Amino acid sequence: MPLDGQGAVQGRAHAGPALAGFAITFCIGVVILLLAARFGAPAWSDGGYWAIGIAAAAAVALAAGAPRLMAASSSFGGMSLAAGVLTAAYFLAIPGVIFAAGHDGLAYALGLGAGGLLLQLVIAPRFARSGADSLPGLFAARFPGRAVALVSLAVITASMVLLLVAELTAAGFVGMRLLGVGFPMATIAAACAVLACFVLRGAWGSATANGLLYLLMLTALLVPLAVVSAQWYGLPIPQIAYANSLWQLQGIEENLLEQELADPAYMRPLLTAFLTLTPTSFIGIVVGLAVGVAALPSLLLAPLAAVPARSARHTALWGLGLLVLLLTLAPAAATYVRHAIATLIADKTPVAELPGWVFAYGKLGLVHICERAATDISAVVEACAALPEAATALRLQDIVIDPDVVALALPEIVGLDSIFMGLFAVAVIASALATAHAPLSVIVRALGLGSGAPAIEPTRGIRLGSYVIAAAIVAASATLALLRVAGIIDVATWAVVLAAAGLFPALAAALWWRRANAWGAAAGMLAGFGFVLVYGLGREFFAVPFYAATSALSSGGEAGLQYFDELKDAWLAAEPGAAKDAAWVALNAHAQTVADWWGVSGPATVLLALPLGFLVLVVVSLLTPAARGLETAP
Amino acid sequence: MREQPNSTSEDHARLPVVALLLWALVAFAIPALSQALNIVDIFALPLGYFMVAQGALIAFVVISWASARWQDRRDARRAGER
Repeated sequence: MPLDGQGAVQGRAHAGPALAGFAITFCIGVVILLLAARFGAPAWSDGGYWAIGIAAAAAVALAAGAPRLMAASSSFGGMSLAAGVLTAAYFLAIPGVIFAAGHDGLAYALGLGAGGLLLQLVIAPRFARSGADSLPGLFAARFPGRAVALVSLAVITASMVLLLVAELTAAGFVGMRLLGVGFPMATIAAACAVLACFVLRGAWGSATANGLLYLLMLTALLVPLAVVSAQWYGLPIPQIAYANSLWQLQGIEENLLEQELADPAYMRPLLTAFLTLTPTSFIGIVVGLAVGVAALPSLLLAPLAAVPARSARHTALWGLGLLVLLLTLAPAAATYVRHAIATLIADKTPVAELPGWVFAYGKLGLVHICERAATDISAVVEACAALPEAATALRLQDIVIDPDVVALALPEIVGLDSIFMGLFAVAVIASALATAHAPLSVIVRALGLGSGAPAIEPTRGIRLGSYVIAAAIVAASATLALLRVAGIIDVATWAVVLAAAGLFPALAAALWWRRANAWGAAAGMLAGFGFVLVYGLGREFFAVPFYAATSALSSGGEAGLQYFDELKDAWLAAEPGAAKDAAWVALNAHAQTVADWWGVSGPATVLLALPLGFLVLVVVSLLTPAARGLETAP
Repeated sequence: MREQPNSTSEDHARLPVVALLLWALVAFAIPALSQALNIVDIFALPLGYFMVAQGALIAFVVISWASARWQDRRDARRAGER
């Protein structure tokens, strides 16, 4: 890849027409849809957004083939980096998690931002200078041998598959809304499109073209929020204008409490910290996301790989700045949605006059009113009448929206034209399909296909092999996505946390510590990754023996242990049969709440796994002979 | 022509320790102090919430920019000395 002045100039010359073509195609599509909506074809136009999203992703995939686009400026590289950090998953889920969890949801945005900075300070410049084309490439050059290759393959695959699951879930939700089909259908359609875009781009295609998506994502989130800010407060800067909404919301929520239209137990005021997360979990999520983003294999590719350190530094700086621009919009989005819904309740809106979005998402099972899916007015009336404490008006806790669709529903909830929903949907689909390329590409590289030779045209066999691998990975991810075991934000967080626990110590050592050798790196990765698995699975499925063995480290303290012993005696004493089973359930449930070392649970496990990974890496490296003649680390 | 991996002007690239300390301070101290900071208002926003939601992220960008600028200057100085 030439990086001299001429190459860079040509790169810009090629980026221009690609950008223009992308914009023109997009605008024509939107205009056609606008006309279709005007002349009364709403169902048809919703499907059209789906098509535009796929077309945009395909356009990006084709633009990646433009030979010199990859040598574009650092601002464009930064755009693709920001799109790669955010992905469709976080783009869709972060406003939702702030909406649902209030202040504690901010941990996710904070963690991603902190990760962008850590990437820029510690990883990007040295990684770029190492000359490696990807993380597997760096490991292969710095830690030769099969041990590191195998362990890193396992960790990279686990992390990247989870990221794909989160992205497919995001695309699946949007597909449900646009196509009116079930989640499985929409997810499978998205998976097929991901694969098509992968084939279109090729396994070694550049990720830099994803920068086009950043513009789409920014427009899709910024424009509706700016319009609402201007309409409500006369100030089209959402990041500042939403302060008004925060205060008004606080007033409305206090009123609702006074009128008993809201249950204090369900109320999560946006300004109050640590209602849903403990401080340990909050910090754990920030650390996990920050360290994980710095080590995320899907980011250590084209715009950061094999460029001068200075260029990588500036690309990462641009990436962080643009990422922060999007992340600071998320609290505004969450506040506006809460404000609109609280107003709906405060106005004592009768069920018959509920806005259309309630039923549009209720039909998909994503909005529940009075504990039942809000499919239509009569279903809602029936459900609310069936509640034990049947109230005259809807209460705040009666309306429950799936947090994963809050961002998508935002334009409709705050009362904007449905074209904004379409725009947002296009952004989510296009970014899901296009940013899914990097995880697939990394797995293909980690498997050793054509690694280390990006300049050489891969043979036909290798190319077909990469398609087969990608198809298998996409199929596995789609299968996992269909299980819907957790929300988008949780799956996406675990993907990054696995990268943090498994890959960061080895990556940092590869770049900064010459004495680190392959044995140390393999052992460190295995320790960090293995700890997360054993700790997480142990707490989840073997809570009783896990707690019995490690009760001294638990956050439950003396009282927790005493209660555990009582429950255990009850279980041992119970007659075999239903009584014994019930006693076990009680014992297991209690053990799950106290089986945590120093109160660490969930993604915060990284707080224990990271030091362990570093420690094992250092000790094993020092106990085994130093590698010779490998001067990748300066 | 690609820049050689061990380019001479950057042989002494070190960990940006000050920037990393600032990173840790912003990422961990601000959430921990968020409730205490809420007493103060800025732009009509409670300071603690504002710092977690936006201030910390903006601080990251400032640290990143300052660090990049500092390293660029140091590289230029090194190149000049040779």
